[in-house]
Amino acid sequence: MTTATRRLAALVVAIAMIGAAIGIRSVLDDDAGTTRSTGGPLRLLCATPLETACDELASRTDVRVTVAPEGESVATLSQVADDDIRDLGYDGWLTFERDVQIVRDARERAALRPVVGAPSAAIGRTPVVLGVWKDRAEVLAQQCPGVGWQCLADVAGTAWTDLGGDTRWGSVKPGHADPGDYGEGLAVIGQAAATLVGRTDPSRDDYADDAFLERFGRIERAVPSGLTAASSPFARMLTAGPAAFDVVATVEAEAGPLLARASADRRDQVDLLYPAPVATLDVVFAPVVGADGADDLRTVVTGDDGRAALAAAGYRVPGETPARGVPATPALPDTSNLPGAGSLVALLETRREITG
Amino acid sequence: MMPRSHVRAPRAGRRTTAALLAAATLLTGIATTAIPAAAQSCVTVDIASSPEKLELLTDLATRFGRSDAADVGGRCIDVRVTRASSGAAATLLAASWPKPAKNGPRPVIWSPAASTWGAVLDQRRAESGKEAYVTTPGTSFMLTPLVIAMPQPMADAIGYPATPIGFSDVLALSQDPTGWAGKGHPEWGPFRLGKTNPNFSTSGLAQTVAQYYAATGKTTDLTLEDLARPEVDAFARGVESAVVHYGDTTLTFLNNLYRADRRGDPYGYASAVAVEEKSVVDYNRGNPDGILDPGEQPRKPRVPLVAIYPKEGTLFSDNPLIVLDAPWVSNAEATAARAFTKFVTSAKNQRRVLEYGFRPGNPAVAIGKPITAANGLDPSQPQTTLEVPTPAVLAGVIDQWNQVRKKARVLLVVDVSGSMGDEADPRTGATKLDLAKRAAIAALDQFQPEDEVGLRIFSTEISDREPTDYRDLVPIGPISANKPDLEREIERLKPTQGTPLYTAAEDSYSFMREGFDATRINAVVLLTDGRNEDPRNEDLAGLLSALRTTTEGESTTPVRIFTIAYGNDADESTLKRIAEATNAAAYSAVDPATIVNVFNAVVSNF
Repeated sequence: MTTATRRLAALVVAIAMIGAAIGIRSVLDDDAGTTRSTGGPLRLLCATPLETACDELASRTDVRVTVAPEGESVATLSQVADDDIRDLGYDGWLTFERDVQIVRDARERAALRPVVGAPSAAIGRTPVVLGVWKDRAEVLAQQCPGVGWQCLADVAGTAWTDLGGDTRWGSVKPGHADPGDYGEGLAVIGQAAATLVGRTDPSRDDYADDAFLERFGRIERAVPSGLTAASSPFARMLTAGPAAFDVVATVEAEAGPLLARASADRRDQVDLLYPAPVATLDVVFAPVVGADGADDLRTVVTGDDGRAALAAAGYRVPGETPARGVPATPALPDTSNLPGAGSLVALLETRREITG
Repeated sequence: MMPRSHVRAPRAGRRTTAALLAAATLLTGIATTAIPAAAQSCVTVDIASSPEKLELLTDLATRFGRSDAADVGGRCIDVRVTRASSGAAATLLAASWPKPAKNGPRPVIWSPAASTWGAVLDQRRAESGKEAYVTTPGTSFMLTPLVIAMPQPMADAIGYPATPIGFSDVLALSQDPTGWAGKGHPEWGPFRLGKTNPNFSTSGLAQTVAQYYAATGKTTDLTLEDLARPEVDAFARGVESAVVHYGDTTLTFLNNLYRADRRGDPYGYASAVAVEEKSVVDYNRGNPDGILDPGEQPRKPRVPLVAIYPKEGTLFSDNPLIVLDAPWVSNAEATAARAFTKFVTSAKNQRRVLEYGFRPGNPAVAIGKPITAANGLDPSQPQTTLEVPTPAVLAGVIDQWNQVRKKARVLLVVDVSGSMGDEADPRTGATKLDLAKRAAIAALDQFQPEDEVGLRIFSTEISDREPTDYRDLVPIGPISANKPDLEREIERLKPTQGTPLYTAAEDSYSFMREGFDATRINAVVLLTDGRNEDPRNEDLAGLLSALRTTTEGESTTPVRIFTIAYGNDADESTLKRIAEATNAAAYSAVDPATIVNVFNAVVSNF
C-alpha cells in the first residue's frame, strides 16, 4: 500500500469514527432528556451560593448553567414585564425557598403575571452556623451563657479589652455575607432577627421596636464593611485569621466543607456552632412559566444528578452521602424556622436604614 | 438579562468542540498540514497586575498555559501579564483605558494590590457618570498585611515585640524633635519615615488611611467630617513632615535601604517604612525589590528588617483577580479569565504563592515558611484590622493628603544637548526634546501650589558667562507664581551642544544644598538623553563620592537626585549610580513615547 493510499484510508476511518462518536453522543443526549423540545440545552439559572452544586450538575449533565447572585435575580425576575418572560432565556431557577416567594409576592403586588411556577419541595437543606475562633469563644463564654445572637447583640463592636480579651484583638467583629445579594446572608440576619424578637415569625412591626433596633443595629454596625469584597467572609476568616472576623455566620454547606479542607493550623482553632433554634436554608427548583424545558429541567435537577450535586456541594440531602465536613447532627427542624418572605424583605429595609 | 452573571458551557458543547478539535488535529496530522491556526485561535487574557506580584503571576500564567486547564470551549488560553501600579491602573480604567498602544493592552483581569482600588475606581467612574467596571467581586487569591518595617535594632529600641506598637506610636516618634536621641541612639539622627504616594501605591493609601485613623483615635467609621477636623489636619501635616520623600512604589525605599545597609549605614536613610509583609520577606532574603535579575545573587542584609503589626490593626492587600465588566471584554475572555482564576486558587499553586512570601488565599494551604519569626515576621499576627473606609471617604483621604503632604523644592534640570533634536516620532516628526517638553509641562500639574519649582538647562558652552555649562531659566519659586514662566521657558527650549552631565549634576546638587529647606523635600530632577561629553570634568568617582558623603550618616540636608534616562543613548548605568548615591531613584524612558508616564512617576516622589 502506498503512503498516499494509507493516508486516504486513515482519513476515511477517522471521518467514520467522528460520525459515529457524534451519533452516539446525540443518542446519549436524547436519553438524558437534557435538551429542550425546541432544541438546545436546558437552561438553569443558579444562585451564587449554589455555584459549586451547579458546576457539578453541569459536569454530570448537559444543562447550561448561568450563575448570578440571588439579589440580582430576585430584582430582575420581580420586574420583568409579562411580555418579556419568554425572552428570559431560562427554563428554571435553582435557589432558596424564600427567594421564590419574594419574587412571587413582588409580582403579585405589581399586578404582573407569575414568572416562576410553584417551587419543588426542598431538594437540599443546610443549617445556619456560627464559626468562631476558640480563643475568642472562651472570652465570650465569660460574658454570655452561650455564643449566639443574644450574646453578639450584647458585645458586637465592644473592645475586647473590656471583655477580658487581648489588647491587640481590637473590637468584636462579626461577619456575614451581604444579605441583599446572597441567600446565606439573608438567612443569617433572618435567624438573628427571629432570635432577638423571640419568635420565628417576626413581623415588620417587630423591626420598628427600639430595643430590637438597638440590638440588631449593634451587630450590623460592627460588621466590617470593607472585607467582604473579594471572598466570602468565612473564607476570609480562615485565610486572614482573626484579624478579619472574630465570628462569622454562614451556612453549614459553606463552612463545613471549607473547614474540613482547611489546614490544621486554622481548622483546629475554629468552632462551628449551631445557634438555637436551628434555622435552615432550603434549596428549591422553580420552573420559569412557559419555558419549554421547565418540566425536563425539573426532572434533572430534582433527580439523582441534582440531588447528588447538592450533596457534594455540602447540602444535606436525604439518602445521599454527605460531603466531607457535613455532620449528621444536629437534626434539622421540619420547617426552616426563618421569617417569611415578606418579613425578610422588611428586615432588609430595616438593615439598610441602620447601616446606611 | 443579567450582565453580572457568568455562564457554564453545557457538557455536550464542550465535548463536541473538543472532539472536533481532536479530529481536526488528527486530520491535519495525517495530511501533514501545519496548524498555526490553533495558536492564532487562542483566547488572550491580558492582566494588569500591580508590580509586587508581577513575577509570581507571570510564572503562574506560564504554568497555566502548559496545563490542561488553559481551555475554553476547545480553544487554548494565552494569559499575558503586564505591570500597572494599582493607582495608575485605576486612573486609566476611570478614563476607560485610553490609548492601549501607549498605556498597554486593555485588561480582561485587573489585579490591583487590594480590593479597595476596585471601590475607588467605581466611585470615580460614578462621579463622572460612567458605568461601573467592577460589578462582581474579584477573587482574592492571596493576602499580605501592611506592616511597619524597621531595622531590627530600631524596633528593639522602642521595645517591640514586648511592647505592642501601633501607627500612633510610630507617628508620634516621627514628630519627636529629639529623634532617636530620645531612645538612647543619637547616632541614628532624626526619625525618618518612608512612605509612598497614595495616588499611586496601595501601601501609601493604606498607610495614609491608618494615619487618619490614628489621628482620630478611631478604628472604624472614618468620615469626611473627621478628615476636616483641625487637629486631624495638624496631626497629618506633622507626620508628613518626617517623610524622606514619596514615590510610586515601596521598592524604591527598600532598594535604597538595602544599598545603605551594604555600605554599612543601615540607619541613615529611613527609620520605618510602611510596606507589605511580603516585602520584608524579600528584603531579608537579600532581594529587596523581589525580582532577581539575570546573574543577580541574593545577599542577606547586615541588619534585617522586622515587621511590626500595628496594635490598633492594619489593612490587608488581598490581591483580587477582578474580571472587568468592561465593553472590551468578550464572553470568551471572561470565561477564560475565570479558568485562570480557578487554576491560581488551586492548592498546588497556592503553595507557590507562599514561596513568594504571600499568605495563601486558599485556606487549605497552611501559612508556613517563609512567613516565620526567623524572617522577622509573626504568622499569628495581625489580630485585628482597621475598617476600610467607604469609597467616598477613601477619595477624601487622597484629596486631603494632596493638601497636607510634605511640600517640595525641586529643580528641573533638562539636557538640551544637540542629540535632543533627534527625531523621536516618525509619524509627527517630533524630536526627543519636543516630547520631553510636553511631558514636563504636563507634569507641572501634579505639583501643589505651595511647591517650589525652578528650571535649569544644561549643555556645553550654553552660556557666555561662568558657569558656561548650564543656565537657570526660571529661579526656584512657588509654582503657583512660576508656572506660566516654566511653561513658556520649557516651550522655548532648543537643542544645542554637548552634555556636561557630571558638572550639571554636581552643581545642581550643591545649589540645592545651599538653599536647603528642612520643611520640604529637596530634589533635583535630572533628564538627559546622553552621556557625559565634557573633557573638563570626567571624574565620575569624585562626583559619586561627594554625593554619598553628604547624603549618608546624620546629614540633615539630604538632597535627592531623581534621574531620567531618556532615549536609547542615555547613560542609564551612570544615572542609576548618581540617583542611588543620593538615595533617590533612577527612571528610564528608553522609549521616548513613555516620557509622560515616566515624568508622572518621578513627580510622585513629591
